[in-house]
Amino acid sequence: MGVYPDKEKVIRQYDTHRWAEQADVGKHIFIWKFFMSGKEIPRWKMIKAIPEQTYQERRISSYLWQRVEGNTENLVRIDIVESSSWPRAQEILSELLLEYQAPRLREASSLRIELGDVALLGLGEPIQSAIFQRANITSRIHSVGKRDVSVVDVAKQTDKLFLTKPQLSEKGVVPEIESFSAETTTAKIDEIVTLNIKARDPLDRRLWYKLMVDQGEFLVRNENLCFSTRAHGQPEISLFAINEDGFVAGTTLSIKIQ
Amino acid sequence: MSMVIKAIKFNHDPNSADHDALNIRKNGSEFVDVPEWVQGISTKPEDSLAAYSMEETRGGKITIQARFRSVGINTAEIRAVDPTILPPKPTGWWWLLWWVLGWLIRMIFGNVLGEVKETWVDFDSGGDSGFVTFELKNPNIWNAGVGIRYTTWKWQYRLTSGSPWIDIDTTRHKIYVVLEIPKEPWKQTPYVATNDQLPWTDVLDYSCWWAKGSKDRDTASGKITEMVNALGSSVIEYDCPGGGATHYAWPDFNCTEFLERVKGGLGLGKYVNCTDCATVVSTFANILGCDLWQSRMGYGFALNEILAIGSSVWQSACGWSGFSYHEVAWKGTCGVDDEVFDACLKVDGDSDPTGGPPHTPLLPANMKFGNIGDLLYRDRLATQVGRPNCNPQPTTRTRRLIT
Repeated sequence: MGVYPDKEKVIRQYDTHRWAEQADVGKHIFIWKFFMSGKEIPRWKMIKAIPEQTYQERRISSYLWQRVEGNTENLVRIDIVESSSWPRAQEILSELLLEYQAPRLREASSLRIELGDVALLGLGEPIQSAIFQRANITSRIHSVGKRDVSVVDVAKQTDKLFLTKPQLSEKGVVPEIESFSAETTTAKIDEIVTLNIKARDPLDRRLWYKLMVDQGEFLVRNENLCFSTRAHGQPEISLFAINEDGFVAGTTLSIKIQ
Repeated sequence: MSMVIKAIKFNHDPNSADHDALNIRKNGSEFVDVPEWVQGISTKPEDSLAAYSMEETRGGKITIQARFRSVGINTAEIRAVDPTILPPKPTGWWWLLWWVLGWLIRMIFGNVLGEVKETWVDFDSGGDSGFVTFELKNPNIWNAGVGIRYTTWKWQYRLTSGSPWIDIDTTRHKIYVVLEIPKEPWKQTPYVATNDQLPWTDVLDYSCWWAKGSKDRDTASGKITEMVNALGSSVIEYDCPGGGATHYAWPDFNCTEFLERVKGGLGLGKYVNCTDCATVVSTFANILGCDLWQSRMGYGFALNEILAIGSSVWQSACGWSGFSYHEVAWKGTCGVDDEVFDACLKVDGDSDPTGGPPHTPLLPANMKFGNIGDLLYRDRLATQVGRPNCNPQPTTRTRRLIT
C-alpha cells in the first residue's frame, strides 16, 4: 500500500479522537471470528458470501443481500472488517474514510440515526451507504443493486448483531462451550490476560464469539484472545458462542483485578 | 507400427521468457499445469493455454517440448504443420474477396507460433520418447501485436528422410501475446501453484482483446482505459449515492469479483470510484507489460464539470463541490511531468474546461498531469481555485495485490 500523507487531514476532518472518547459501549464488547450465514437480516436473504481476505491482522468479509419481498433488484453489500481491538478498528475506519472521494460524509448522529459507536452516511437520498464502527468491527453497508435502496435498516440490524446481549438458546442444535478460562484468575491493572476458549458445534460447523464485560477491554495478540482492565474489582466476562443457525451458548468468567 | 502424441509443454523453462512461454495461471484458484496440452484431456484450444512476450522473444529461437509414445518404432522424424495455411492466392474478384477475408481473420486470430520444425526423435524400449525439444519454424509473435491467437498443429512423422509424412494427431492451442513480461502486481516468481500473483489468463482474456493489435505500452494502456470507461453504465457506474467509495480495490484488488461483474454476474455490485478504475486500468495494462501505477492527487479540490463513468450528465462529480482525492493510473514517478490514464471520467477537451456547455468529451489517456496553466490534465480536471490543491501525491503510488 502507498503512504497517505492526507490521513491526518481525514482524522482531523472527521474528528476521530472525539469518537474514541465517546465510544464507550463498544469498548467492552469483542467480536471474534464473525461470519454471516444468511439468517441475520430479517426480510433479506443472503445471495453471496465473498471469500474472506486476511490483511494486516484484520479479517475482511463481504456479503450480498437481496430483499425477499418487493423488488429483487434491491441489493446491499455488507463489508465486515474484524480487527484485533477497538482502537485498531477506529484506525481502519479512518483508513476507509480515505477511500471516499466525496468531500465529506454526513455523521449519522446529525440525522438522529443511532448506529455504531460512530457512523457516517453517504450523500444520497435515500441513504444508500453507511460506514460505522462498533467494538472491534468496522462495517460498510452499500446499496449496490439496480434499484437504489436505503441501507439504514440493514445497517441497524447488522449493528444489533454486535451490540446486543444474545439470548441463550434452550432448544435446537446449540453450541457447546467446553471450557472458558483465563491464564490467571488474579491480575494486575493493565495486565494482559490470555483467555482460553474451547467450544464446538454439535454438527462441527463454524462458530463465532461475542465477549462482553462491564469494565475492561479485549484484544487479540499473537492470535490469542486477551483481556485487560484499568479498574480494580472483579469483572465478569460473558462469553457467547453462536453457530450458523443463530443458536447461542453462553458462560461467564471472573478475574480478580488487584 | 503406430505413434501418439502424449503431451506438449509451452512453458518448459519457468526461469525464462525469451525462448518459451510465460509463467501463468488461470485465475485466483486455478493453476495452468505444464504440460499445457495432454492427450485425452486437452480437447479444445481453451484446454491448452500459453502466453508469450513479444519483447522477450523478439528475434530469438522459440522452443516447445513434446512427448510421444510409439509401438514398433525406434526412431522417427517428427514435425507439426499448420493445416490452416491459406491456399495460393486465387484469381477472380469473388475468390479474391474470400481470400482477403480469410487473410484478415488469420491476421487477427490466426497462428502466431508458426510450425514445429522437423526433428529426429529416439524412443526407449517401452516406446517413450520422453520430452523432446522442438524449435518453432517461422513464428510471428513479435510482429503480431497484443492479442489472443489460436494455433492448430497437425503432427506427422516419418521413418526415413524423403518418405511420405504420416499423420499422428491434431492439437489446438489458445495463445496470448503480450508486449513484455507482465509488470507488478503480476509476478513471474515463485513459479508455484500457490502464487496467485502469476498472470491470470482470465484477465488476459480481456486485456488482450481490449488492447488487440497494440505494439507499444502507451497504445495498449490507452485502449484499456477506453474499454474500462466504456463499461459504464451497463456494467459499472460511478458511486454517487455512496459518496464515491472504493468497492473493488480496498485493501487489495478483488479481481475475481470484478471479472465476475464484467462477465455479467453480480460481483461486488455496480458501483466504482476512481481508485477502482485506476486499479483496473493499471492491473489490466500491466499484465500486458505496461508499467502503470495507481497514484493519488489532492487533497480537497474543486472540480470543473466532468462526465463520470456511466453518467451522461456534465457536472462537478455527483454535484459535489469537488473531490477529497482522486486516483488514476499513472506513468513513471506519478508526478507533474508524468502521463495519466483515467478511465473514471471524461474531462472537457475544449480550450476552456472551466466553462459551461458545450463540452468536448475527452478521455484522459496518456495525458500529462501538467502544471497550473498548461491546459493539461490538472487544468482540465480542477477549477482555477481547486488547482493549487490538486497536486500529485506520489507517496501514495502503489500496485494493489490481486485476489
